[in-house]
Amino acid sequence: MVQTEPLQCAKCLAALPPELHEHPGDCLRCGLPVETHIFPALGKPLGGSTQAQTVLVEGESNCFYHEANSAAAVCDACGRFLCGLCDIELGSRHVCPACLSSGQQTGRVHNLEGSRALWGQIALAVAVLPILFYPFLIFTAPTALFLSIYGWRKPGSLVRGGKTRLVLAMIIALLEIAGIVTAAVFFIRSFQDGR
Amino acid sequence: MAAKPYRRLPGRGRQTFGASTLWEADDHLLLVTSTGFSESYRRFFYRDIGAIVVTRTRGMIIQLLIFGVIALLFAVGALAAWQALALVLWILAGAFALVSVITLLLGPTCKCSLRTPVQTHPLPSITRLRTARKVLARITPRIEAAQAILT
Repeated sequence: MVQTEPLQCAKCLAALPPELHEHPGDCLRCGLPVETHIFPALGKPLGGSTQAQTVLVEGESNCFYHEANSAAAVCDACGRFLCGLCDIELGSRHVCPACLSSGQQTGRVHNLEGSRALWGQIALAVAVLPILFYPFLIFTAPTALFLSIYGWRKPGSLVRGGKTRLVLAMIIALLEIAGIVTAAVFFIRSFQDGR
Repeated sequence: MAAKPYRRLPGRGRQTFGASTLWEADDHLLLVTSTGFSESYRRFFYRDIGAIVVTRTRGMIIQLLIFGVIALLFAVGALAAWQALALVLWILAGAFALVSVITLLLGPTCKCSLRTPVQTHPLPSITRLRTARKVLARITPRIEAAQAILT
């Protein structure tokens, strides 16, 4: 039988007694009602280091990276044979270390991404917020336009797609720049007329 | 048109510098914490989910007490005040009473955590018991299907 750490109360993090695994009850420390939903994986042992099988039979497929190890999987990205040591599971996919590394660098392996910047939000904030302090628009409007263009080819939110905010930021920035140019022309002409 | 890889699960948790939401994919859950200008992601594969613990908290009672007392104070003040001020105070009392009713309708509050073989991770997007039940109803079949080989 696999020994597992006891479940914890979600509020006070106290260990829950085994009887609460099957029936709802109160936490012994904070006294709040607790209900647990158990799944088969709770008793699953944590996987140890993977052992690679040596090639036993002449002609048996071997790992691309370890000639002495027999192949256990095929990389879904490049098709290379992989032994147990080289096989990296990403959800339901199997990849080799090289494809994992290149995928992480190019951003094509979404499962590895821990965070993303939201360029649309950033550009829109830079375009809109300084309107209250309009002298700063001289600097922020071009910056917002630059950020919109820069963020256009960057990946957006993993869960909310679309470039609406980028487009909105671009339009607002262009309008602000047009307003600044118009105001500048007006003041220059007024100054020249006033001479 | 390609199907969206992620479907939003009920619930939204407000935190100090952002909000948390939970999303459902074909083989994992995605916890998204957004600060407004960036998002961070945490994945929990269905085959690794050992347990989900839901602890009911006293948040709803505390909120009802606070909003109810404030509404009562405004109502008492409205009774004692003269016309123009009384109207303003009645409006404020009504607003806080409405908030109390909404709090009551949303139901009991809770905290939720998810257990995997390596860690216990809170799910801050689930703050109401009703939300927890809805989320569990959607993900339990997926978890059980992913772990069918273990039974």
